[in-house]
Amino acid sequence: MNEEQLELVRAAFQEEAQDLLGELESGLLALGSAADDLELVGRIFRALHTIKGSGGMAGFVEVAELSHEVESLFALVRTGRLAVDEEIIDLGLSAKDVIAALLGERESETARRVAAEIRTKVRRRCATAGGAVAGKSAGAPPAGSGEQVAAGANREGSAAEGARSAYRITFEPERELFIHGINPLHLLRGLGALGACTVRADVREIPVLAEMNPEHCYLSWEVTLTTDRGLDDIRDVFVFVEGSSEVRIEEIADEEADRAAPAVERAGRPEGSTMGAGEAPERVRQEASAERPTPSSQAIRVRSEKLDSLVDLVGELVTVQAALSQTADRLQEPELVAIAEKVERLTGDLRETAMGMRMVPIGGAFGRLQRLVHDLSRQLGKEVELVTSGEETELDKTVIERLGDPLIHLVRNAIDHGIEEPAARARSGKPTAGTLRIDSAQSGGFVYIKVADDGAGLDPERILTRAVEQGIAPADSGLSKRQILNLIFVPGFSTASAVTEISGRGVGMDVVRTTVESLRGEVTVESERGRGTEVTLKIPLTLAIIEGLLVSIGPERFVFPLSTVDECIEYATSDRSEGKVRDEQRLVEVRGSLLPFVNLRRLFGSRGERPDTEQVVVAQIDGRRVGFLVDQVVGSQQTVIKNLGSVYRKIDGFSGATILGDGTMALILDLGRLLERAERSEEPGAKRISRRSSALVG
Amino acid sequence: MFACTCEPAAAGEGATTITVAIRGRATVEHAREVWEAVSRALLEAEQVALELDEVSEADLSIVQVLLAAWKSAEAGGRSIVLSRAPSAAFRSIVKEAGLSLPMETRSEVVQ
Repeated sequence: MNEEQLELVRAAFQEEAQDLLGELESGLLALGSAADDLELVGRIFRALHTIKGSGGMAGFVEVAELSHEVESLFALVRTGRLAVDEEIIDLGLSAKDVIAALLGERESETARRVAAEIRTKVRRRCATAGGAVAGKSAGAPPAGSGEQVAAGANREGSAAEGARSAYRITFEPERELFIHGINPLHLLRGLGALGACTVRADVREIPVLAEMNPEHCYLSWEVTLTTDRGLDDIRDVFVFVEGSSEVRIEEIADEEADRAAPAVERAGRPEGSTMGAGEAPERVRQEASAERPTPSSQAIRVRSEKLDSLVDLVGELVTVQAALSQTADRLQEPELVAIAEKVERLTGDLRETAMGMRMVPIGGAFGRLQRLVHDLSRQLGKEVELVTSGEETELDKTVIERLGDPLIHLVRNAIDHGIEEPAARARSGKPTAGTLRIDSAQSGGFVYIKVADDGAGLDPERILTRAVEQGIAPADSGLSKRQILNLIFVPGFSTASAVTEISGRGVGMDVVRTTVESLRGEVTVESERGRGTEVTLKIPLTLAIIEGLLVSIGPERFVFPLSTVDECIEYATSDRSEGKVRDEQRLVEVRGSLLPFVNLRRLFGSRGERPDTEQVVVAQIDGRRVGFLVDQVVGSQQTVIKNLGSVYRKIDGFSGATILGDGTMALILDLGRLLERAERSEEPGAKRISRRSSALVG
Repeated sequence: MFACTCEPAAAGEGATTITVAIRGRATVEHAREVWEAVSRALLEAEQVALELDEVSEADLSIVQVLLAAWKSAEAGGRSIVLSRAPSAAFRSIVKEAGLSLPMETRSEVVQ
């Protein structure tokens, strides 16, 4: 392997290792509450095994050494020679952290020192179990050497042992097997260590010399194995080649295994008949072909930058498509109109596909919180059980990345200040272990993420007192409980003392709100004194392109996120005189009921005459129906969201901007903020924001 | 230490035989070298005699090259034989992999 190839292997491993480390961490954390779960131990073992093998192959010597030794520790657990306890879990978690550091930019002398410390502790722990760490650690263990560890441990006997079964294992290596440092003989020996096996090689793929790449692997095998080990043990043998080579394991009847034996060599015998070149059975080949997944069913890794770039391009296309549709509408040329419609449909499909590719399950973000809960509860001497649901809910990957910090913040606050210490909980008649629930679910164009604890809850009276002291709320404000609780999101509200007095909410909650709102989301809080607190984040599914409702106010155009819009109602001048639109009270009559509305023309200070016919766009804001009076509803359209420039980002009421088909710009309305702004200010049109709109796109 | 040599057979054994001798640690790093040697030998001679008795360690990439050489020889009307029995290490690997070398040893040819 030359330098360039090695660099590619290293980069591929660094990427792959993130998944493996995640798997390792989640397995270790789950093991804390299910110490007897052999399947979990197997998961941890396999993750370490792969990190060791692939890491060694990619030249990460220290990573391979450390994972080798920790793997040995879990080999002892797996065979029942060591019982899982906190120290073992902590050693595993510490090893995971150090491996991440050794693989990342944080690689340092400190990481190496910590790695050495962990290895010493692991060896000591292994020694207490009467088992030595298998293998020498003078260098990275060669790929395949780990099988000896696993097989050796397996021979000691394990709780997983059961009745003998026969398996047919088909192994069709990838062509680059040798180049990737894998010796198939090690795999065959690994199988031999599990029980009696017969090995058939298929040589038909070997070409003549002139057509051969001598570094490629053209061989494949069918192995019949009779063993008292389970499927997991067999899979472990192939852990290095998972995903790259074809491995199929099927249980077969004992008679079938017996039939296979005479024609082939029994492993471990010094002599025996072997299958000659070209004699491999056709049946094997056919079965293997039938099982091989088609390329379309395989997953591939794509760098996230490429997906971002794709979505950007789709965004540009959406803008051009809007221009095309507008031109077609203007010219009314039937052929052009037909083409424009077709392009619009295809662009919509392409948009859906591209956006779908960026959607990832939120479970990954929850996984990181498990570790936080584990560490924090131990640090604070509290017992906390984390219960999650809705991990499969998908969100745009950019959104998930940006939600990381707010979620950490909420969890930290819940454990640090919400959930009481065990003794205090016992005094209140609660179970000593607190529960922290994180749920997510999709509804419409939004994902709702709830972070709820069963801790002490918020005290509205004390929050209000504090807010009055700080001049955030007037003493006689007459705020509702909900409004008082929302004060914790006001910047500057919280101080360290306030935190202690009010059971902690408030530390940096303004940061949570700011982040969530920058995602065009909303955050709400509900709390019951002594019962707990629930914070809900409402997050739009995607940040890049939304369905929008285009409206005009004077010469300017604005976009309502369509997902918030309930209906549009038209009002004529006569409705004003008949009292259906009551400007002064800001109420509008909708099917006999009165609905509050915001006069956007007035709020924005738009110039020009008020038109004879106006429209009220009725939207849902935080569970309330609110109307927004606009001049005209232009129609719905796909809206590519552009961020506002930093100068304009702080102007209330706009979450972004978009370029329209004719090249002009429209601001995207943040309805919650607009409503607040309207409620705050009686005077109409404080700023003439819309006039400056062409300079806003960032 | 790996070595792969390619020499015409000694006088009296026929001018169209070339002996390819592989010695030492014959693993994938040397697969191309072995491939080049047997390819050249098959081009230049009617018969190739393999010497594998001094192979101390081998992997399947080398075995594959020899099987490919055998296929090429069959297809091209040439022959490949083993000068003498391969080393125990080489034989062991072939067996473990569920394979066998299809070429005959020289002694069998003589008989």
